[in-house]
Amino acid sequence: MRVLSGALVLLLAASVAAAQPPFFEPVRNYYKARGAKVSAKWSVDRDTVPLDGALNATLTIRGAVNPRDIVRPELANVVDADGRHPYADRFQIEDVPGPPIAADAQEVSFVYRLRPRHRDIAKLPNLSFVYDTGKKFGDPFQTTVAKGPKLTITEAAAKSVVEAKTPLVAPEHLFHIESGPQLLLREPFSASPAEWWLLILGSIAIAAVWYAAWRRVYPEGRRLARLRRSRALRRATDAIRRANRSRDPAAAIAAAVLGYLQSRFPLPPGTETPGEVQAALRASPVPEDEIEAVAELLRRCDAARFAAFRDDPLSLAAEAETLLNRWEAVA
Amino acid sequence: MTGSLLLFALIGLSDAKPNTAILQEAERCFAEGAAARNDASAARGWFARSAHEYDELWQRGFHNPGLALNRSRAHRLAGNLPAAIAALRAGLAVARFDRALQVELEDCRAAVEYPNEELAIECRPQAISGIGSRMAPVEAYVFCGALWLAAWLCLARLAMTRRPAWLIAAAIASVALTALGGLWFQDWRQQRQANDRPLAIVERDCTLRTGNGTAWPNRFAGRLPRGVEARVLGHRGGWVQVELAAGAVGWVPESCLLPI
Repeated sequence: MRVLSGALVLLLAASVAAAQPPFFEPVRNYYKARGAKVSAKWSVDRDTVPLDGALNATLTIRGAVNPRDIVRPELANVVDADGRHPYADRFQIEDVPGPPIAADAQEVSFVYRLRPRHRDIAKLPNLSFVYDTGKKFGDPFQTTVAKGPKLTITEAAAKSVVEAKTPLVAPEHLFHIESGPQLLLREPFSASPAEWWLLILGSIAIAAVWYAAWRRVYPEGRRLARLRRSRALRRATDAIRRANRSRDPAAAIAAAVLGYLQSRFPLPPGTETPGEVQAALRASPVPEDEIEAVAELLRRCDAARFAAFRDDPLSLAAEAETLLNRWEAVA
Repeated sequence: MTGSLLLFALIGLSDAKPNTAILQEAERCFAEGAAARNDASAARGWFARSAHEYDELWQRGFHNPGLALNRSRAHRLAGNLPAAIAALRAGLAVARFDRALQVELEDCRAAVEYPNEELAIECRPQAISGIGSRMAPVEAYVFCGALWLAAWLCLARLAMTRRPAWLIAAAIASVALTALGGLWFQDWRQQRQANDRPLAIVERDCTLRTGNGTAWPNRFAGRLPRGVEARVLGHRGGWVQVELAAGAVGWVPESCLLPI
């Protein structure tokens, strides 16, 4: 029983040892290549690559006795002495599968498609390639270096695909502007103090000139204006001006004239006819021709009321107003 | 010495681009931008060039409402809303009565994107008001002149006719003149108070703080959006103290503001 269990432990240990790589194998950069003199070499299909382009890099292993056993180096996992990833930091790496390796092949190649990440790449990094020489004495593992060729990374080529155009969205009225010479005008008008004084004094001057001209044209105008202040005259004048709106304008004019005369002169009560008025006024200090004129006006008013041929009420009103103004001056 | 100065001045004048050429270039760029409006990035480039030419004319002293409106539209279509508002405010400073500028300013103000309603209430300015916004100075001059002249002519006529109606007419004209003058005086006082504190536009989103430094807390939740109008109260250490439309006071970095 004890012998059986010991054999089982040995068998188990042997199987585990067979599954795991030998602990004396190098951890880094060993890809199962064996041979007395193994060499590795990088080659590229182009040495100038645009930033948005890609190149094919081929790693060729020669001199190995077991080309079919060699493991493809995982460039993305390659770490240099400083712990950095020289390939992954510089390129996006994509494995390109190759044809099956013949049994009698003298070399094996691995192809990678590399896309540069930036323009500061001067060369493809070197790859340390460890192989087993099979020596029984001393260190059987030797290292060969696949030197990376120089590279030039250029600016990205212009994109051939036209970007989708987006329209400028804005209210329609914004796309219309004013044009013309008015755009080259200076500031809008703003009155200066001098212009304000000109306005103030100019208006006063215009009014003064108008009044002076009026005085010149109508020398008696001022006195007549003062006379118009007479209440009796103002009432009579207003009545004459309203006469046109009455049913009997001539009677209204005659009444206005009689009312004025009665308020200004001591006419006896019941004095209405032209003859009675003429007789009554002769006692007052009014010139005879003025008395005759007022009597004539009253007669014409009567004629306008009752006769076949009558005067125009408008001309009667104008004549009555003039007559009363004259009477106001002489009374 | 004088001759040299004159020579330099002549050389400078000869190098200066004629005003009409600048105007034509501005209008041409604007037309190109309008034609390219289906491609926003290309159109904005044209509008920016047009706005630059219009700015040049404005700086040369051509301050009229039409030019201010064109400047504003070019800036706005170029994507520069603060500059558009600044152009309108500059135009309204010389032509406050211009209705087109007022409408355009309200339109631009409506385009300001406030992050929240609180900031909108604090920042949204009131519409321009006052008699100066409804009546041009030339109109006021003519209207006042007409009333003043009418009053004096009524007095002259009163002296001629002695009719009290002319005195009443003169009094009415005087009262109207006094009322108009009072409105303009009030408007002038308000404008003078407003002009004591210069206006500035927020050019890029920034935080309104209670003090002049980033260590001070925010005055409001949310950032002041570009296009907000504020009155400048003072400067200190690269920061500007501003007053918003509703009266809130705070500090913003100087680089965030576009002075008018």
